[in-house]
This record gives sequence, structure tokens and C-alpha cells, in this order.
Amino acid sequence: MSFEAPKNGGALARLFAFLTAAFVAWSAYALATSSLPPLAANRGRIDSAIALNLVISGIVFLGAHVALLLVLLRRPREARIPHENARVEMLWTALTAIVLVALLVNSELDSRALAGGSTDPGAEPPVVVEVVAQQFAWNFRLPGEDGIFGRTDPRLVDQAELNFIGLDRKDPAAEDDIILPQGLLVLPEGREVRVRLRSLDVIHSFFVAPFRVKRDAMPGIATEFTFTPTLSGRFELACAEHCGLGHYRMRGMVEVVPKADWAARLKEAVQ
Amino acid sequence: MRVAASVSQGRGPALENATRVAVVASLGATTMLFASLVSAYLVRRSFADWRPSPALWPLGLLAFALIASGGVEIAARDAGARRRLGFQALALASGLYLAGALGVIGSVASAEGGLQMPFNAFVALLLGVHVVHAIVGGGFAIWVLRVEGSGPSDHGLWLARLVTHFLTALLCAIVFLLFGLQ
Amino acid sequence: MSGGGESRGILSRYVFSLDHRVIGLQYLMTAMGMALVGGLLALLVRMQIAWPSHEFRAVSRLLPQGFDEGIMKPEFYAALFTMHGTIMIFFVLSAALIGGFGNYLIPLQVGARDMAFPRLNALSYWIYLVSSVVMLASFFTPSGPAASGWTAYPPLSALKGAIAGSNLGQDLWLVAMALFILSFTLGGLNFLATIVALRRPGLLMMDLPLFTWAMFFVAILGLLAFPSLTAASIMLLLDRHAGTSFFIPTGLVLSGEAVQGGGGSPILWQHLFWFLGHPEVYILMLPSLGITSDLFGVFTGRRVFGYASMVYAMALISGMSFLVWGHHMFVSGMSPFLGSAFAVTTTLIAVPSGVKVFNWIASLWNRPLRLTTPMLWALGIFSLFVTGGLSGIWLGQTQIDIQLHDTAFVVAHFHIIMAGAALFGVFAGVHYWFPLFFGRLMNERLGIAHFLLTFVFYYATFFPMHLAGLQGQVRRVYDPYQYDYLKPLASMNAFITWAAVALAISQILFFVNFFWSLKKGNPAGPNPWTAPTLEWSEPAPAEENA
Repeated sequence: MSFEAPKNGGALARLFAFLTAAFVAWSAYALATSSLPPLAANRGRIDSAIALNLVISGIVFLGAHVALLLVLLRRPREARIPHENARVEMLWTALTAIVLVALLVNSELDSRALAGGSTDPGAEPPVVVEVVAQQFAWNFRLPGEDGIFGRTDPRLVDQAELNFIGLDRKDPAAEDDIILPQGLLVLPEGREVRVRLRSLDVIHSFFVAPFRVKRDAMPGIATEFTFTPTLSGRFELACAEHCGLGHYRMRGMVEVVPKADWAARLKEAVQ
Repeated sequence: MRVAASVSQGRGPALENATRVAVVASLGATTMLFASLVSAYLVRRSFADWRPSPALWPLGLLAFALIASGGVEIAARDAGARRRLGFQALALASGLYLAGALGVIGSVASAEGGLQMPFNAFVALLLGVHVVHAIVGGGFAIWVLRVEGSGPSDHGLWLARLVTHFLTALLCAIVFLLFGLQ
Repeated sequence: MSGGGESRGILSRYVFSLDHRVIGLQYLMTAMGMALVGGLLALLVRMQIAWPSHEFRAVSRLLPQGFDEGIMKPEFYAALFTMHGTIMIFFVLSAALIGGFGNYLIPLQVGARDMAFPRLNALSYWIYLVSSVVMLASFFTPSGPAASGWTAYPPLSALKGAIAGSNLGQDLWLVAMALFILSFTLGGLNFLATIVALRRPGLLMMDLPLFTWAMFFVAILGLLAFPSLTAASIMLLLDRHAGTSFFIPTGLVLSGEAVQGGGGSPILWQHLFWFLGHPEVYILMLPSLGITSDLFGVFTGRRVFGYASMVYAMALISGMSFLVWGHHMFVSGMSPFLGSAFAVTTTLIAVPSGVKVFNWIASLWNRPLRLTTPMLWALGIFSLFVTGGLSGIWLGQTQIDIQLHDTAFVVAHFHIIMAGAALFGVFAGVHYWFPLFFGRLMNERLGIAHFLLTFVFYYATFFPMHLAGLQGQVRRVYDPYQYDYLKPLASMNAFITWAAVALAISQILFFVNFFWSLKKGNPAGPNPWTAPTLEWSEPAPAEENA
């Protein structure tokens, strides 16, 4: 048997089209009025890239859904579209490819700029920080005046002694290492920060949303990345990689203070 | 099974084709499995703390595998009494290979450092997975040959040769990668 | 459906059958059962995100091991999202689309009497069933099911002390996955052999329906991509039980205690896992894309626009899917050159995907459509594929991924494109082929209502997650409001959860329709949709028995 199916242009088509239009309008409104957390580091390129992508994909999203609405609402006249048309197919393939390649070039330029540190020869040397993640806390260490981190050894980890990272206190380079209290990192505003990131146990991920910074802390491997905080304030550090039952409460705090106050604030924090 | 039926009664060239496609595809999957294991091994080798093994080449294993391959080749070329000899060589060499491979795995597991030594772990892993495949593949080869009543058809022999040679080549590659890349 | 003069018993006809049709339906039914489990887990996850630390007395009485005085335990939460992902991706969507539709339809669409190897086919189903049971059994172990995420990253999944689920539960997870892969491999061999070698004489590959083409590529993807997870699972099992250290690096300290062994590389697991993981995404996508293209053909009364380019696009997508896995690891600290290479492949996979979208629009343009329920689902897939594809382009760019990786944005992206399009494909297929399966039509009014509600609530559930992700809400978090900056998202998360509840309730319509139509649906006749493909030229079972 055959039965009468609803057609485009009919009541069902109008209802479906209305729901689609409502979704498109709502999502466009929601995206247009949404925002990233306020930027607090020198990584505005990520914000620009997101804005660019929002515009391009917004156009495609609207275009495809308007096409769907038209298909649903218009009663077809006689069909004039053939089964295939090599020229048209080539054209839209090429167009898609051109837009994507442009986005890729932009992405590559951004990634290089973000990965490299400051290129200004007159700039102050970067602040080097070691970040050691563990279940479920963040440890921070600065090398002190000698600029050298003291030796660590996992066998020396002693939680009762508060030696979470296994620092070898007999190593002369360790004497002036500044070990911040767990979960608190104090940084100067406007100076480049170079983070050496590692983990003691499982994989964690260092994520400060306002800094546009995220990097996995991979056990067994130390990785480095760099950013420059541009605003003073307190910013929450989140663990972005599932690391166990306490993943959700693996919260840290990054406190950015004006350069002049940094040394004093560090001293205060360590006490 | 229908494969067996088709092989013995010469029924359905389409089904014979299907069997060939399936066997080749399963060898493709096996290749990918070993490619994954080998790439893991190559990554691990590149680390600074890698210590090359003092172990000797398990030449016996290679010899058994080559004899097995030779046996199936003899059987393929000669329909007379030597075919029987070929199958006997195949069966004996396969059995010796299995025993030998298990012996090698046992010896690396009980060697100094045991499986905590990365080299030993990879020997056990690669040979162990090869043994599993040799059992399945060898079983398949014997089965397609056994279901032939009066004598193996070209189709059955084609499959048995393909699988046996593939497993031998795989073993040679594994042994070379483990012991030859020092 | 009583057969005349059949001497075989019910067991051999419906349970231990070698008939591809029965096996297909067995897959489909098992997958529907698993979908209930997977859906329930998702609701529990959403409940916790929206109202963390809330007492849920009633639920906690049903699942006492997961709750502490009515409050969900964090390790139970981790087990929930782990099992939800695993079950939905492998045991529901893969099983229904490939095991279910693939088994039932491939022989019919290529004009073969059955699959090439019916026994292998039955074996494939039974191994799948055993692997499902093993996976579910982990809920009844003392330490609970695996809780290291569906990606099972070591060391979390390798060390028993890292999380409760990394005890027996993780072992069962690994064994179940290995069995699932074995089942899938046996099925894939059968699919490939049947499509390549058992086509009806004269039926060329380029005449096949796009669904069968999708199955062809899916089989190849499965055969070549799944072995890497087999390899990884064996290695992880050895790490856990034989003292090896393939994935465990040197010098770990777990809760103050030094971990024995070391020298391994946790990132190696990620490479092996995602070498499977990303093709798996396309394993789920391709059947839906094929179904959508075929349905657009049937319900516009004309073959889909650009059939040949659709096939080439699928081939390109399949081939490229082997080259994109690294985009899951952009922030793992891997070499930036490698990152750039993966960004190129990932972004360019959007080209063949774009071709599909344009061809679809051209297929629909200026045509009289028949808006049957299956056609509505296909149009839904069109929308989801566009929406989810676009957010995929965002995530494929390394600099944007820095901000959005492991946030709710990613959750939104893959639920819309991979889970959503695949799920809609299941519904499209069930409604479309129901007459073929059971000789009756599903109820169109119920079907339309189910579609419209699902379409609305699916987007209501998953679209806002983009916004939460942009705000920096990380995923897999038991209580997002530990972070002050996420506190403003509480009302949005509650909205999402209510939408998810509504989405779940809407699915009741489907189950009602399914079982009601089995008994009371309108008799369908041989070709109710006037479709041109071969499966409809077989007599429908109802007619056979009339």
C-alpha cells in the first residue's frame, strides 16, 4: 500500500520550519551575547580567532539552515536541477577548501606567536616557575636568586614533612628555592612567565581560563609554555584533565600583583 | 561451515572469492595490530634509558617458521607422496615453533629484571601476540587443508600458503626488529 | 508471524539463528537495551552537574553503592561518565547502526542470499553479547566499574590506587573492549567479503545504495583502526598484572608512596587509543550519512545529487580519518610541528564533508518532498551535521583548541555531530526499515511527535554546552561550582539538565510506537515508500505469512 505523506509547504513542514527557525534565532542570539571570561594575559589572538570563526561558521550555519527552511516552506516548481553537475561541485569544493586553508594559515601564525616568548630584547628576563601537579593539588616553585632549581627525587617525597615534590634539601641549589604554599601562585603583572610543568602521578591539565592557557601535566615528561599576565587580580586555576575522584576540587589560585609589589607578596605568601 | 563446503565440493566461486577477501582483510587487520605494537616498541627504543638486549637471536624459531613455510610450498607443488611430507613438515615445525616461542617468553620473564625490563617486556609482548596468531592462523590452515577429501584444492592451498607465509614473514620482521636493531 | 510447516524450534529460529535478518534484529534489540542503561547513566551525570551535593534519597536507594547518605560519591560520578561514553559509542550506536542495520541490509541491498559466512556472523553477535555482559558486570564489582573515562588514559587507568574504578572494573572494561573489537572484526570481514564478492551478477559497486557504501568503508575502518586498541589493551593489561611498564613512567608518587617500575610513556596510549578513536567517530558518522543520502533520494523521488562525489567524499573522509588522531592531543605538549600537521588534516577533512552538505542541499532544492518520519530524521541529521561540523572546524585549529580542549564545548561538539547524527541515523533507519523488518509501518503521528520533540530537546540539551565551554567549564567535573568563575553557569546547567530529562521522556514515545506498531501497525505491503533499492524487492515477512 502507499499512503499520503505530508509534503513540503504543508502544516508539518511549517511546524518543523518554525522550530528550526526558532532554534537558529535562539542559538545566534545566545552565541552573539556570550563571551569568554575577561582576558587577563597577552593571548588575545585566541579571542580574535574565536571571533573570526564565529563569523565564518555563523554565515555557513545560517546559510545551511535558511536553505533547509526554504526547502521546507516553498512549494516546488518544476525541477530544473540535474542529478549532478561537475562544475558546480568543483566550485563549492574549491570554495570550502579556500576558506579552510585561510583559517589554517591564521591558526598556524597564531600558534607560532603564542608558543614563542617575548622577542623584545630590552624586556626583563622571564619569571620561571615550576608547576608540579599531583592528586589533587598544585605545587609551585621558583628557583630563587641563583636561577637554578634544586634537585628533586620522587623517593624524597614526604607529605608529613610537607615536602610534596621531593626536594633534596642537601642540594646547594635548593637552598634559595621558593616553595609556595600548595595551590597559590603569585606572579608579577606584565612580565613574561615561563612555566615548567610536570606531574607526580596521573595526567592533569593546567588551565586558567582568563589567561587562555591550557597544557597537560604529563607524568614522566616536563613541558614548557609561556604567557604574560596583563592584569592584576586573582584568577582560578582549574585541572582540565580527569585525574581521579578529586578532579573537581583540584583548584588553584593565581594571584597577579603589580611588579613593584611582587617580591613582598611572595615573601608574605611563603610565611 | 560454508567455507568448508565450498572448498570441498568446489561450489560457488563467489564464495571462494568471498573467503579470499575475508582472509586478506584479516591479514590486513593483523598487520595493523603488529604495526601498533611495533610502533610502540620503536617509540620506547628511542628513549634515552633504552638498554639493548644481551639476548641471542632465537634462530631456532626462525628456522621452524621457515620449515613450516617450506612444507606448505612443497605440498602446493606436488600432488603425490611429497604433498604428505610437506604437510608433516608443516605440522612438526609449527609445533616446535610454538614450544620454542613459549620457551623464549618464559626465559625473558624469568631473566634478570623480568618483565620490568622494557626489552624483555617487548619480547614477551610481540612473540606472545604472534603465538596467538600462529595458533589461530595455523589452525585455519590445517582446517582448510583437512576438509579436502581426496586432496587439497587450489583454493584451499592458496589460503594455507598465504596464511603460513604471512605468519613466517611476520615472525622474521619481529625477530629482526627485536634483535637486529641494536 | 507463524511460519507454516517449520519444524525448527523457536530457539534455533530466533535465538541461535544463522539468518542475517535475525542476527541484525538481535543486534538492534540488544543495542536498544544497552541504550536504556547508557541513557540512565547520562541522566545521573546531568543530575549531579546541575545540583551537586544535593540529596537524592530515592535514587540513592536504587544505587546504594554509588551514594553516601543520599549524596553521589565522586568516584561513582567518574564511573558514570566513563560507562556512559563507552556504552553509547560502542555498545549502542556502533552495534545498532552496523551490527543491526548492516547485517540485516547488506545481503538484501547487494542481492545475496545471506552474509558470506553466516556462522561467523552469529559468532560475532554472541561475542558482542558476551562483551556487553562483561561491561555491565563491572557495576557489580566491589570497587565499581571503570572510572578513568572512555579514553582510559594511563596512569589513571593503570594504577589500582589512582581511583576505585581502576581495580577489577578496569580489567573488565579492557576485556570487554577486546571482545567487542573481536566481534566487530569478525563482522567487518563478513561485510567486506559479502559486498565485494557476493553482489548479484551485474550489480556494480557504483550502483550500490550509499548505505551499503558506508558499510563498506566502515568495515575497512574497523578492520584497520581497531587493532591499535587491541594492542593498547593487551599492553595495559600486562602493565596492570604482569609487571611491565609500557605506559607507566619512571618516578611516580601516588598518595605519597613511590610507584614500582617505570620507563613507559603515558602519551603512547593516547596515540594508540586515538588511532582507533578517531576512525571510530567516522564509523558512527558514515552509516548516518549514507542513510541520509539514500532517504533524500527516496523521498524526493530522484537519486541523490552527485552520487559519485558522495562515494568519493566518503572514501576521502575514511582515508583521512586515519591521519587526524593527534588533534585530541594538541595540549599534551607534543611537538608543535606534529600539531600543525594534525591541524591541517583535521581541518581539511571538512572539505569532503562540505561536499556532502552541498550535494544534500542540491538534492532537496526545488523538489516535492514527502515528509515521512524517516525523512524528518534525515533532515535532522542534515542540521546536526552542519552544526556539529562547524564546531569541529573550531576545535581543529590549535590555538582555539587551547581554550576549548576538555571543556563543555567539546562535549557539545561531539554529542551533536557524532552521537546526535548517529542516534538520528538509528531512528531514521528504524522508522524506514521497520516495514521490512516486521511487515508493518510505524505510527506516523507518534513518529512525527517523537521527532519534533527530540529535535528540539536535543539542541536544547547540547547547544548551551557550547556556551558553558566558552566560559571555561571543564568537562568530567563532579561539582563545577567549586570554581567561583563557574558559579554563574548554575542556571544554565540546570536548564540543560531539564532539557535532558525532557529529551529522555520524549524517547518513551519511540518505545511505545515501536512495540505498539509491532502488533498493531498498518500492514506495509512490499514497498511502502516506493523505494528503488533492492532490499524492497524481497517479499516482506508479513506477506510471506499471509
